Parts: sequence; structure tokens; C-alpha cells
Amino acid sequence: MSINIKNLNKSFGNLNILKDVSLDVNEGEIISIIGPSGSGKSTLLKCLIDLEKIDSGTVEVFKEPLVCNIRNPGKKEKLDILKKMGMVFQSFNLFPHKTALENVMEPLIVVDRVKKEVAEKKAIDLLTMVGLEDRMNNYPQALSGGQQQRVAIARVLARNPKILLFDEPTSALDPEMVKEVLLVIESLKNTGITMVIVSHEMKFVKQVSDRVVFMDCGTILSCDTPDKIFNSAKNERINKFLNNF
Amino acid sequence: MTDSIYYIAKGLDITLRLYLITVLFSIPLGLLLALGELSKISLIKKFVTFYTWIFRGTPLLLQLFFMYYGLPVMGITLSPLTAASITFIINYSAYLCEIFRGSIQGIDRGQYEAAKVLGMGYRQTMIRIILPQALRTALPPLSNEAIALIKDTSLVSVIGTAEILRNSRELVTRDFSITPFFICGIFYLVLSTFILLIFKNLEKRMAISCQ
Repeated sequence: MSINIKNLNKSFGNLNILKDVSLDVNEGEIISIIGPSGSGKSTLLKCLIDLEKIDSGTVEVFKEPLVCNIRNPGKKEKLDILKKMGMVFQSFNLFPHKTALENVMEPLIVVDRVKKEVAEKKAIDLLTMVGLEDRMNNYPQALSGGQQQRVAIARVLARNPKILLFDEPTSALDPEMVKEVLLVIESLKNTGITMVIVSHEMKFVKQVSDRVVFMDCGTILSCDTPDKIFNSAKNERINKFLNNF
Repeated sequence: MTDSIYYIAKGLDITLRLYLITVLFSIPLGLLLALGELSKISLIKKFVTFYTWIFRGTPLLLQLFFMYYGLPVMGITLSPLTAASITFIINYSAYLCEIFRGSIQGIDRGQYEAAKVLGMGYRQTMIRIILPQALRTALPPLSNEAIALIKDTSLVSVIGTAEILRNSRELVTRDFSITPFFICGIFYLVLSTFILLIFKNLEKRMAISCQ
């Protein structure tokens, strides 16, 4: 088991964003979360990696508690768990004062304390893997959205995460650039990395996921194989949502 | 005329010394205060808010008088330059604190989130990611302060320190000529132009690194 979510509750003021959400993610599994905007998909993802404080419930990563309302782990323990995880954001969040290459090298040098030459070699390999070997020395400003997101994926891969979270990785991109990013994500299938993907790209979700989670109003309405969700969902809400695509 | 220029130029020693000491200490102090104001510990936050409220809310000249004429009443006597340096550092760090705080707060939340999910701690995030970007946006308001400071050094003439303004005034009273004031003005203009050029250069350099 790689992620264990139990009875997660989260509210912003009076607004209940997550209501008693429970979900288990198996090791190496690719789970996609779909559903209407405001249903709590992104918040759930952020709670999984401690970017949002939860109100109650537990998140366990590889059986270690990461966030918990009873016993919160210490800073050091938390950091150790977070080191196994990575996240790709909707708005890329590259460091604007560093080149693509430096962006990928940064976590290697600062967090893993790898020698500069080693970090550089690894960063070059990763950027080549995402097809950006000729744009390595560009600053993020000079890259297209799709290129920036590919740098972000290379950066998150640099530290060999066991778990990757994708928060609408293509929502801020032109239709033309969506494909190049999805191809990169798809290429990570079968690498053993557990992936949780929030996305509105239904075709991609159907193709890549082992299981699909449908969320609405802060609860999980259904969690099943892509085939069952897309072709034979019995839930009216799910069918209504999917008919829009 | 050359005598006057030479006499006024002798005051540059104090002016520049005070300027450099203030710059050297008020920048790190201002940065620390800004981080304190943004910290989660409410006591530190309140202290910094109080600090900036006091030192931005009262005249620099009053603070200088307090330090030079006020403290001796309480038994602490400082030399004019020491009193002036301490006052300027305290006062300017209050202003710099607000500039740094603003520019740090202007950094997108996504930068913190990205640093965190990459496994970076608070110090690494601040030193490597947030501050380099914040300093860049802080440069234009900083150049304002840098110029204001060179002019504010003239305030120490009132506590009997022989800096360029005081020396010029002495010449005006002695020779009954206004030329020394013009010379003094030119000195300040040269100094502030020099400071401006430094900032222009810095801005240019930091801007290139983001293309």
C-alpha cells in the first residue's frame, strides 16, 4: 500500500471541501481523480502532500503517518516521508531566476547534496528524456507552457520519488501543448511510480489509469476501473458529468 | 575657491563613513526584521510591528537628538558618529524591513509549494528561492532609500559633526559668500548620481538573469 487516506475532513471557513474521504492507493498504481470544479480534487491532492492542513483524519504514506489529527509526526519524520513524494502543479511553479537545467539540479544539490557534476549529468539526462535537450539553458520565461511543464516533470523526477501527484498538469496549456505533456506522463507508466492524477483530459484518464475516482461535493462517489466508470457507471451524477465530454 | 572645495571635501570622510556603516548594517537587520514580521511567532511579529511603528512614525532628527542629547541624561554618552550610526541603522532598518516584507510577500505562493514538495526546508527555500527573487523586486524602492540616506547624513551636522553640509555652512558664515552651498549641492549630486548608477547596474544584471 502506498497511500492510505482515512476519514479526511477539510473545510475552509464554513465550506466543507472534503467530507470523510477515504481512499487506498496501491503501490505502482495510477489513479486518476475526475469530477466537476470545486469538488475537492485539488484540495485532496494538496492534503496528501501536506500543502494544506487537514481538520481531521489520517494520511499514511508507506504505512507512516504523514498527516494525522491524533499524533502529528515530527518535522524530521515528515520531511523524510515528503522526500519520497513529488508533485506537479497546474501553474508549473518553476523557479524563474534559474535556467531549466538549474531548476532540475536545484533539489539534487540542495536536498540530496549531490556533487554539482553528478547533478548536472542527471539533470541533462532527465531533460533529454522529456525532449528538452536543446532548451536546457533557457530561463522559464523563454519557454512555452508545455516546455515549462516538462521541465517541472523532469525536476520532480530528479529525486526519484516513489509517489507522484499531478494537479491538473495540462489545464493551463494550449490544446496544442497538452499532448506533449501527457505523452511524458504516460511514459512514466510501468516505472513503478505510484501516480495520483487530477485531470480533465478524459481520453488520457481512460487510457492511462488503473482506477478512476469520481469526486463530487467533497466526497468520492465512485472508485472503479476506467471501463466501469466511463462505460457502465450506474450513478446518474457521473453519467451527467461524463456526457459533457 | 579650491580652498573651499578642499575644506568641504574633508567632510566627505564623515558623510561616507556614516553612509557605508548604515548600509552595511541596516540591510541585514532590515531583512531579519522582515522575516520576523512574516514569522508565525506572534511575539516576534508584534515586536517588529511596534519597532517599525516607532521608528517610521517619529522624525529621524528627533531620534538623533534622543540618542545624542537624551541618552547622556541617563548616563550614556556616545560620540557624535556612534550616536548617528546607531540612529541611522535603527531608523533605516525599519524602512528596509517594510520594503523587504512587501517584496517577499509578493512572491507567488506556488514558489513555496514547489520548494516544499521538492523537499526543501524553510531556510533553503528562503535563501535559494524566495530571497533572490524578492531582492530583485526590492531594488527600485531600495534605490529610493539609498538616495534618501545620502541626503539624510546631512542631519548629523546639527550634533556638531563636521560632514560636508556643516563645513559648507561654516564657510558661508566665515566668507559671507554663498558659493560653498553650491559646492555642497554638487557634492551631493555627484554622490547620488553615483548611487543611482550602481542601482541601474544591479537592476540590469539581475534582469538579464531572468530571460
